[in-house]
Amino acid sequence: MVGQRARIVNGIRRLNKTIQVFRPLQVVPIDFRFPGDVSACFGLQATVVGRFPVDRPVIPAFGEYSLEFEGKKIHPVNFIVPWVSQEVFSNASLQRPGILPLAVQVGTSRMINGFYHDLDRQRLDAPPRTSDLQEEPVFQPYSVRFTFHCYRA
Amino acid sequence: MKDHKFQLIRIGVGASGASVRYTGETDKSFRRIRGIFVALPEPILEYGATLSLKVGGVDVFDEDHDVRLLTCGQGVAPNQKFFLFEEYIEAAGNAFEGRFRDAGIQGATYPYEAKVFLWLVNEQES
Repeated sequence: MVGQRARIVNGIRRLNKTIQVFRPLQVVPIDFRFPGDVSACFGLQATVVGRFPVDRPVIPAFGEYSLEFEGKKIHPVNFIVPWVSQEVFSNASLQRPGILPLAVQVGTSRMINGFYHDLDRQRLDAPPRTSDLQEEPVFQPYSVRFTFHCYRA
Repeated sequence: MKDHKFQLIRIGVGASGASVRYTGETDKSFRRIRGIFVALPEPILEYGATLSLKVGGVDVFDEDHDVRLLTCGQGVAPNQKFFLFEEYIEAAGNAFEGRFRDAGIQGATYPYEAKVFLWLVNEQES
């Protein structure tokens, strides 16, 4: 408890890493390094950034990701990223996305490796075609933003 | 003694894709920034909009921090709208600065005003 208190006194860094997805079912590698003033990562948020002409206001598993820390020594996260229509939910009771709790001590390596995998929901959840003349839906490129909540050293 | 204040920062966004720097000082009569809430006039503006924030020269949110992590729907109770800071961020007249970046969403109306609310309190560090 004392250790946690000391970390909060030193402050918190919220680091953002954005990746781009250009193709359906694309696997995007994630490779980056924490800055030197980070001592531990205690939480993670992932959000899909994009608007899509899909048939549902919420797609619970729009993509999935996996992250390893400390040069692949620690593998705490395999999770999904939802997509939520802002138009449908913002005027109702949409809460902020919560933080996925982690407790990863950042050591000497500082490397984060992993991938994001698109699950092709743009095609699978596209509105039904009303005639054979209607064109197939076109994949809309989008971003996924990862926010790492970290204690300062 | 006054215990709470909700300080408003108005950020004018003139055009699609604009990146607007904002600066200011927190109210001197409050010790701590307890939380933050961002309000945009149209829900579609929240897609991809980002906000960075530095207080007293220290990064609170770095570039690319998604506004959706700092906002929520109209139906959420006022006291639950705010993103609460776990760390102690000193107010007390501290200077703040940051940048709001519009994502350039088709169909949105320009210009508009982004409103950033800082929840200031007088509680001691606990």
